[in-house]
Amino acid sequence: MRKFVRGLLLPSLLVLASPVFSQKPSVKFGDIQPSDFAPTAYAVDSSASGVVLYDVGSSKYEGNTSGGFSIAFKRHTRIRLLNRNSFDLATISIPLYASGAAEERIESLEANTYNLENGKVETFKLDKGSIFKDRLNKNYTVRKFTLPNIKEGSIIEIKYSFVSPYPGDLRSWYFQGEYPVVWSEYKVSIPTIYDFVTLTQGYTPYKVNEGSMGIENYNILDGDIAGRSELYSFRSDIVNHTWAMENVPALKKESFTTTLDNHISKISFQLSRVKYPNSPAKNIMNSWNVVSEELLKDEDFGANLAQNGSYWSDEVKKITAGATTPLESAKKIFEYVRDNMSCTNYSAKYLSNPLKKVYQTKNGNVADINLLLTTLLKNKGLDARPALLSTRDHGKAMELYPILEKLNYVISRVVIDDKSYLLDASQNKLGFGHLDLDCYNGFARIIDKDFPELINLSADSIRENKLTSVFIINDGKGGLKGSFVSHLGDYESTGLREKFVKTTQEDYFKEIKKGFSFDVDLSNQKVDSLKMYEDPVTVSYDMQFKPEDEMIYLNPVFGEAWKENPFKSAERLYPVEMPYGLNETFLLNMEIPKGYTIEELPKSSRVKFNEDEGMFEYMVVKDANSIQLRSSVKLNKATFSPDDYQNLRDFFGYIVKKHSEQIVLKKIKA
Amino acid sequence: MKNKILCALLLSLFALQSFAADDNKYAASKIDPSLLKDASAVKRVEYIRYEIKDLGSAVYYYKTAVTILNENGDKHAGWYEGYDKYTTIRSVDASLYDAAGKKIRSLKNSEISDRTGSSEGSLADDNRYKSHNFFYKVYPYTVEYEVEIKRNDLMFMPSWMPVEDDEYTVESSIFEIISPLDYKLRYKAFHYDKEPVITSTKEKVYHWEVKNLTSVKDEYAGPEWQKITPTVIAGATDFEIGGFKGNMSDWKEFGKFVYSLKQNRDNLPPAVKAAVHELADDEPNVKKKIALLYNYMQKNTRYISIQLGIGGWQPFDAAYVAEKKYGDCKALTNYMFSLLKEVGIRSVYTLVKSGTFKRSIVEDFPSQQFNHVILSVPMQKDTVWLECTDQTLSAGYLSGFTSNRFALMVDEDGGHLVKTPAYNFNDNLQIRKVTATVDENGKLNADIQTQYSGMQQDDLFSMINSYSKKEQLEYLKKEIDLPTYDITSFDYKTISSRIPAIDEKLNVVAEHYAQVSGKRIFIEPNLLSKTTLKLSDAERQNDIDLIYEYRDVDTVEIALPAGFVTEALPQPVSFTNKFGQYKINYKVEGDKVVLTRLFERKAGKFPASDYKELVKMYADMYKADRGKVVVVKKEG
Repeated sequence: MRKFVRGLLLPSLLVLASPVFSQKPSVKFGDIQPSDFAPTAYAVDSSASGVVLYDVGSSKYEGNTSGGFSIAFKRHTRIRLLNRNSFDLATISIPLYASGAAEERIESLEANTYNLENGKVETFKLDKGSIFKDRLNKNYTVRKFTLPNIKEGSIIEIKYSFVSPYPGDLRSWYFQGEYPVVWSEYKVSIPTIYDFVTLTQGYTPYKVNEGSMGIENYNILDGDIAGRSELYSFRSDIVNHTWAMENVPALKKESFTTTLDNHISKISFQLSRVKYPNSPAKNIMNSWNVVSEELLKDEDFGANLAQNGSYWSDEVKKITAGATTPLESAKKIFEYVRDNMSCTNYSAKYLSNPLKKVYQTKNGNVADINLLLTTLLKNKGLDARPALLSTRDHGKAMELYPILEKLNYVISRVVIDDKSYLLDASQNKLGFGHLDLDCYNGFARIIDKDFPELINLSADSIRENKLTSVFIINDGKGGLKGSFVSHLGDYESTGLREKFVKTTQEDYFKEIKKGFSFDVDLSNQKVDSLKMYEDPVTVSYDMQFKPEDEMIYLNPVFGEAWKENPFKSAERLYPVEMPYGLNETFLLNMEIPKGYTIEELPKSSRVKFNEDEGMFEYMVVKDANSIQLRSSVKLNKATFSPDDYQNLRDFFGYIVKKHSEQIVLKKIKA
Repeated sequence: MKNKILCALLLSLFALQSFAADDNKYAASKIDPSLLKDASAVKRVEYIRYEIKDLGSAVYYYKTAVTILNENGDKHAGWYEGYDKYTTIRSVDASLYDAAGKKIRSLKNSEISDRTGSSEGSLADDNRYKSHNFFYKVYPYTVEYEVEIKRNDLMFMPSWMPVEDDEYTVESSIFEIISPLDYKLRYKAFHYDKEPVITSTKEKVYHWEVKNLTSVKDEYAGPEWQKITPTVIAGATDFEIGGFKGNMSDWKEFGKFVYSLKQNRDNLPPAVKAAVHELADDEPNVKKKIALLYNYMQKNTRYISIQLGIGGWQPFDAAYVAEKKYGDCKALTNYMFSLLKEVGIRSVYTLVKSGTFKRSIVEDFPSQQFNHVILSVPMQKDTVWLECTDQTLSAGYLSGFTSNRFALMVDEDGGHLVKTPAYNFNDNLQIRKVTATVDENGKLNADIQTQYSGMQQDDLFSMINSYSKKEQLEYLKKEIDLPTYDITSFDYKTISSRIPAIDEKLNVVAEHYAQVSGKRIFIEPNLLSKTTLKLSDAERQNDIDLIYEYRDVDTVEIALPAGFVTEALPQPVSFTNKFGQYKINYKVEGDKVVLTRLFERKAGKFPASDYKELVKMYADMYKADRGKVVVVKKEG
């Protein structure tokens, strides 16, 4: 029998069961000694302003009075506040979920502050009147309180328990947070009725990782409408498991991080199977084939995708009028949905309204919009299917397990003439066949019962391709004239399109003009493909300037230079997750200004990053009349391990240096 | 009473009548072209009515229709209304119309979201809000909201500001206040050159109205919104809230009300009294006494916001703060007041509108315009100001958060308006000295000593007081505007005083700071004091209002590697104008490049016609601050 299946999230944390001699601290609520105040710093982080000394929780199943199981959750936390910067730790929020009549209910809550006064421990209890309840929204309430009488050096302790009526929803546990933790432990005991997949992640090894079997008696009271109730008692095998970590450092968000939630040490659970006594086992987590089949039957997802009624065919006919090929039809449908439907929520995988209503009200969440798109495409007779994924800020999903909770976004795939296009009509400025960067978070799963295909959507798989060229020649009137053309990458294009919602092109080119270090006149300013979202944007202009100084110092990469290093921190604790790989090329072809001679040119140079993972090239060539320069920056992937960090920082440091070098031209003495 | 309701009803029917007759009244084609210029949203029609029922209740009603022209206007399409213990949102109706003015949807009550309005920094309050949005994007479209709200106090009356934003025009807007005949209403209009139309029958109706307002621009250092667009603010005379009676006809009366909420809440437990006397009794100097007790308060409390019901206006007793060791601005200020009272020093509870770089309240219109409380201690010659929610600030210093504005001092005689201290360019300083070397590879090694004072140290002060040493280093590694660099050492020393200061010592190594091209090195001597402001040179509509004044003084000495001589030096730039003065000078002294820079910016109000000069000043500075020195290796 499969008990706990370990999730293969990050190989580094596959630490097997801990040694037998692991020592669990024994901590009793309220038992604080003067010696507990002695440390002025803790080994886990000597500069920390506050330290979580002890954080222990448990989830235990128990029979309830409404015919099923509840989970009793308990938590006991002890914290040392070393100085005032950690006082935010003394304000506690406990969010509780409620849906209809079923709600998570606080059973007990106590909290104390301990101060050392003249060698004696003084205790200040939290009074019940200072616990506040706030209703956050329809489904969540929160209990909030702050500990009384805290000062620098205080120890605070919080202990609470609540009962959850949702037996399939086993609380996850965070071993790590914004403050360092000395000891963090979580224990679960689950009747074998419930099978969970355990998902673990983080970079701190377990100090304790022990499982055992046991037997437990459960009493379940079941009432009927008539007011009669029946008591069921039975014994069940149970699984106990304890995980603990020691000395867990604080984790803070650094740049180029998808979400901290991908890296923090935590453990979470997904229900995979339920087997009640005397009834057949019910798989909760199935193969992708089964999950797809169920989703496609689900009223809130795919049940009406293939609906053929005349309503849709009439609409589709109107939308695709004039299209002569399947691809043209697909594009017309896509553009219609994109330009007419507004997205109210970018994190959703179920319909919020029936498709017809979505179509009529012209708004919906991302699932509404892209399922509508899929329906319209299907009605046109095209091979369209929905696909599910998890966006970057929602965290990594696992390819292996069909865990729907981990997925939060719906896109559509259409195959035309053997070519496959991934579509997202929920975003204003995305072209046909383009996805937002936020979707490149590993993979998408096609929802199809026969072939639930996995589509690779890793950030490593995409490149930002940019090509800029500048030509400069003598204008025959003692000055220079030139042209600038830059084909932007897809993502810079999207950025520019967004920018032009607020900024006029006139202002944009004024900014460009201001960016030159010398006086220049711009003409023929153009931004191409601004409204053609399928294509990247091209920015171009002509320029004219007249060098007069004895010496001309000219940065040959102009405004296209990497001016600062994107990697500022000196160290990195977890992987760098850039949004895409890079492929940028800059070309300059410049006539030497009449009356000047080259005094100095930057040196050509070429460096590789990690063998074939990246490359920077800066090649300068001159002949009698002109200078040619080619600068290219390539990164063939987007995700880098912390070990690569220093190299990455040096690589960009070098690019910044080369991109600041100057050409020196000198006037020829008459 | 019945008649009054009927009359109001008739009145509103009358106001709405013109809508009903016309089936496509919101057709976008009916908008006058002059209102489409520089606009992303057009308020088609608005009717606001505030009806005073009695001293402690009022009904606030509005019906507003806005046509959204493009993506930028979407932010005006939604609806949002906060409420609390004294406010009930009675009804919300809304409809969505397409470009032709055809109604395409109506709001369902289940679509209204209802959420806590409690901010992250607050432990408990009763603020909540309801909101709704049609989320439509086929432009142009029109949203119409009709809302009725019951308020159980007269402390806050709605103000009327039909032009809500830039790129926003108004076809028509009406504001009406209805009061019992004997109620004395106060109001003040800005940019509205008529008197309201007042009709008295069973009650008094005040009526303001505008038509066809074109858009105004939100510009850099622009004046407050009411200075550039029609606005009416209204205020109570007699009012009630939560069983407390007050009057706000003048500041004195309003002050009496605030005082009535806070008086007799200064009970200190014996232990605190003893501690206070032990600390302060032996100190003969009053200012030092105040500082000692202020430090005591800072050490023994922290800021926690709890504002429930009348608790939004009434401070917790000093005994509560003494026991819990926390409180909000009212509670902590009242606690500090009590500590000073215990040693016989009179201090005054003072209301202020906080916010960095904000101007003050409308000082000739007494009303509740404040959001914060501080303590003032009047002395013979001057006043000591104490911000009691900051547990690290220097005694007597207010920071940019509350300085230089009107505040209301409140004591047993009522309220009176005073000005909090202003910090000028002799207070807000950044004095920097950089001693650096550049080697043949362009590597910069710089020793940077900076003294920040007054408002120039505010942000840094909170950074060093809330970050650990490790976090400070992280911060410095990211915040300095150099291409690639490392901090090899750093140190901060804070100097407590009336104008506090921070001494910063940094050692920075920047591997390729100077660019080496063959035998030349390009050096930008101005490492850290570069102006980053680039002003738009668009035509200026409004006057210029510069709030903050400061002075930066820089000296940079960079030693060159041996054997290099200067080939090019940037020109010196120097000017003095109404905005201040700027001087930058690059020179070579022996083997050193020396930069001196001074920038002094004054606060003040300037006519729009001066804007070109301001743009030019910043453009010139932008260029001059980035001057490059070129040095070249001597031949042979």
